[in-house]
Amino acid sequence: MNAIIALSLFGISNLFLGFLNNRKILLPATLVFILIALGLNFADWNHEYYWFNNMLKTNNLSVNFVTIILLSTFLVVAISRSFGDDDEHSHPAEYYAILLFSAVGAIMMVTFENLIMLFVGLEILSVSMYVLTGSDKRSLRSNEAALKYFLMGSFATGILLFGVALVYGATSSFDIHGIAQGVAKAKEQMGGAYGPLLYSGVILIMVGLLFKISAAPFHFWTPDVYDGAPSIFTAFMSTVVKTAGVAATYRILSISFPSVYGLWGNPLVYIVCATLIIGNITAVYQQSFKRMLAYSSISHAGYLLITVLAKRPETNSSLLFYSLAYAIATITAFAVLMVVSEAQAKNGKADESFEALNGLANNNPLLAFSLTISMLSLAGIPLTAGFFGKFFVFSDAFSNPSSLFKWILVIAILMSTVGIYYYFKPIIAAYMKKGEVAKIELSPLYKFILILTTTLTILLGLAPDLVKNIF
Amino acid sequence: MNFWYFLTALTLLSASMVILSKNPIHSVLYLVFTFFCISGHYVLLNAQFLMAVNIVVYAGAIMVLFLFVIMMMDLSKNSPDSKSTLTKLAGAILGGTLLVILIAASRKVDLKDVKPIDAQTGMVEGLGQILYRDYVLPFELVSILFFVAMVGAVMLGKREAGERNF
Amino acid sequence: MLTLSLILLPIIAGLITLAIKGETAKTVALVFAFAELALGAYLYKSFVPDATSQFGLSYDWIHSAGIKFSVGVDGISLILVFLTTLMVPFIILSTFGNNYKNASNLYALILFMQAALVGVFTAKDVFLFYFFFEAALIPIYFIAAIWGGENRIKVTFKFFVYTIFGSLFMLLALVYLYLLTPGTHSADINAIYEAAKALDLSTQSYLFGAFFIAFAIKMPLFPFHTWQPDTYVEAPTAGTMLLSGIMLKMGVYGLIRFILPIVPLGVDQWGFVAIILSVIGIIYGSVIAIQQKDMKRLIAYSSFAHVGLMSAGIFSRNLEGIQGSLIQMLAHGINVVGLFFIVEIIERRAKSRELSLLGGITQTTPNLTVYFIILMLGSVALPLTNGFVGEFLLLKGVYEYNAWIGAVAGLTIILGAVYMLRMVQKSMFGITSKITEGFTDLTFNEKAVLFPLSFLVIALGIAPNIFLKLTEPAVSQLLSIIK
Repeated sequence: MNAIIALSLFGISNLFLGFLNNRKILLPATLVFILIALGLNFADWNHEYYWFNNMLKTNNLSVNFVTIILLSTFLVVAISRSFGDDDEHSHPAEYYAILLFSAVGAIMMVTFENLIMLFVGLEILSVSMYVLTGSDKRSLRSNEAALKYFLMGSFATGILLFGVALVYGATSSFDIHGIAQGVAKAKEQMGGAYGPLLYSGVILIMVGLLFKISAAPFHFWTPDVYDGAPSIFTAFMSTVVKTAGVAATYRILSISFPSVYGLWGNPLVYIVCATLIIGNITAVYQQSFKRMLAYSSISHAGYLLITVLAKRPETNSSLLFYSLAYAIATITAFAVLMVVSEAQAKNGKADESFEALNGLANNNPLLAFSLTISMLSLAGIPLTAGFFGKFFVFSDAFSNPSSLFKWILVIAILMSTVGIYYYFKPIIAAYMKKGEVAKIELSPLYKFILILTTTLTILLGLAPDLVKNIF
Repeated sequence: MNFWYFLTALTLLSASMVILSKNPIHSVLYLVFTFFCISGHYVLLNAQFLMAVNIVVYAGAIMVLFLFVIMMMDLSKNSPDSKSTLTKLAGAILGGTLLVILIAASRKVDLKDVKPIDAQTGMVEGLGQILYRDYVLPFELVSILFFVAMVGAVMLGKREAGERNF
Repeated sequence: MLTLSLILLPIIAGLITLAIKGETAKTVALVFAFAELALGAYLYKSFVPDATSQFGLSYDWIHSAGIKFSVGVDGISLILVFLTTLMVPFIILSTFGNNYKNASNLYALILFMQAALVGVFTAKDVFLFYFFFEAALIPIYFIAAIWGGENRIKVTFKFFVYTIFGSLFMLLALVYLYLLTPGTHSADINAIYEAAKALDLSTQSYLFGAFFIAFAIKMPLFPFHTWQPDTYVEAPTAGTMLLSGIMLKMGVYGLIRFILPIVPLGVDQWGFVAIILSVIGIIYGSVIAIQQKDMKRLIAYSSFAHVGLMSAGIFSRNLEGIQGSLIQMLAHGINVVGLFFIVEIIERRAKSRELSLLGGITQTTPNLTVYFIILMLGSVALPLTNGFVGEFLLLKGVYEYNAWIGAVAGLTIILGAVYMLRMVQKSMFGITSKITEGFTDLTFNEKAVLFPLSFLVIALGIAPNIFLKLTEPAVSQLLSIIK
């Protein structure tokens, strides 16, 4: 809660800092702001507290999710390099401010206790993303992506809102615990059945949220938007938005609707399988590294949803661990992608294909190594955090007594193997293909972030208990 | 009750005209009309304040702005239809299915324990109580939403030097 | 503590090697590898020959899930740990004649690989085993894919995806078994044995399938072998030695440690199929080896045939079969590393491995012929060489299981002799060809590898009991678990 207030104020201060006409001050200021918010966030540790008439609830789980969100935001901001030095075409003060505001939205999405809060949080996050997607005004692809995202996103929000209204009609409550009681009462009155309003409402809420985390079949916007948006904001979208979206989905499904598992569980089974299959298979055919990462983010939504579907007591900690591992690895990958694609730019246009990475290891060992570790982590190979992420998710699914999960797991395993195929493309390009990438000069901060994320990925892959004990 | 049916039919009709009419100006006018109809529903629900706000903000301010924008754009030439028949058909079937499901669901709704309307609910006082007491946090946080939208609009709308670089 | 140092020493050595650039890196790597060998020898010496697991060590790894970092050495592990520590110094030494780009990275990867291999053979927690099992794959992938031959990228990638695919099924099986353990779950191997006892036949069959795919791809068994010949040929010789000398033993070890005790009913049901596949592999591998022109490819297929016999011996589930496979793993490791090194020596001088282009080497480099023949005899299992003991026990085991299958598997000795003698004859004897004329004598480094290996071929052939007596209690105990 304190983090929300602080970040809102910091966002505004950031806009004022923009008046100073000194770009260099913005990046450190924003980093400090995020660190302060992170510190304030820990003030809620070990206190279970409801804020403002049950609008928000903070407990250790929410603190953990907020930490992951703020950490991801921190890393994204740290690799933003003040958005270049083009005063005419980039507006760092606005970008940083909007990033901070969108973090507010993300935090609301993981702490909400009332569906109104979920809606407002989701909207803050989405509107920020629409704007940032289109922030590269001179690129047609960016414009197209923003418009596409905006149109589809508004529809998804509308659907979510309709779902909220229907659920309110069925249970006469916006409060997520109140809804759970309402559902139970309605079930009692109707002798185990549930009303049609509730049915439509739950499905529509799910559709709205699954759109945001780009689960199939609501994923069609993802590749174009991720591809068109400036890489730095794609990194933000595929980590913070995904974490917040999955957390919100899990929160509402597990708290409000655990007693009607069949209602959302059955469709979710198909959604999970479709997401895994479509995300992974399509990623294989991509020629662009950035687009491949977009499809990879779809497939990771599938793995995350497996544990939501498994609905075990351990789901909390598995979700946290997976989100953390995924976020760190993805940001590392984007960090490498950004500098390499700019260094390999042709005709002023960044080259985001796999070929741009050819021969990266010769002159840039750090970039190549970070890239390798992040890809191994995304592929779920041992020694990296991603392996334990998958391991925990699979364990959750297995410990669910339903035999259905064994088949989901078989699909997940097959798709993990497919995943290895495309995650190795950049590694092969960097180490084994012939090519030349000139030595890329990195700022100390950039180097530090690369080393930090790589070390974290390996560390969590060797000793997952470091954070697993906290989660 | 009969008036409710009339109003609903009118709302649906004008809403469908928004998307069916070829001329964008007609569309906007139909939309304005739709907002009026919805305001009518608010009156039936005893929510006079909401009705007034709805008309002032949506029908008044936003739609007039819309009209201005449309009039400033050059819409003389009709852009050719880009969607294939198959896409249209698929869209119609999917949308129609959703419609049927929603209608089927709402037909079955059992409305026996609907709360009777409290005459004070829709008044400014009741609304204020809810907005500034129960829902004060979302109310305040919505300001961030608007702020983001504002900053974004200014940022995206600002004129820049230089050529476009596709 | 000893076991832990066996795992940690190569890691530390690898990191040090990474930090050192240039020529000194290989010397440093070699020194550490010999230090590791000294540790291995000490382990061998202080091992008490009984069925218990010794030098055990256990730390909490993932506390909440009851997963421990627990390692220990019993008779079965001992032989493989010893093999690993024994072979790596020679593998490193064998690269001294070559100039590799970024050599320090290569040596670091070899040492990391060694750490992972020791980890696989000593892990007592199933997830730790899986962790090392996969971790071993990463260094060898990079070794083969960076320093390999022309088609390396495609070939090694196939190898990587193939093996990972198999082991993911093993992971599923392990998670399933782990969740069967009572209470807050434990991943200790003995707890898994205990939990698996209650399983019915159909579940065991599924588990058998999951484990079998993982290990059969790793070894490889027919028909999962398609990655193997290409990878062996394309990898640099050091990588091929690691793959064939040590890494394929991970699969064999997995059969002994996992499949036999965990799914005995599954083995009852499907063991026959596995043996048939193994025997097909023996014959198929041998027949193809006879037709090979490329020496490296020939040895690759011979390795494929040998591993088939090991697997058949294990699935026959008697003392002779398992003991034989253990001693054969050691012998095969020594022989195959030696043979690949001889191919490497020839290739360094002749720039070719084609049998048709070679010949008459015995006239220019007689020393090489002597070593080649000793290693070859070990490989064709002549009495008084190391190969004989293993193959004899294995064939006896398979014969006891089923006389007909034993008879067919016995063909391996004849076929093995055919392809090996053909290779020696074509390359060493006859008239000197254009490219073998200018052969120089063996260098000191080359002799330093070949002499000890040849010595081991004979020493193990004369006194196999120094290892057999160490493994027997552990194997007997394993058999008592199965029965």
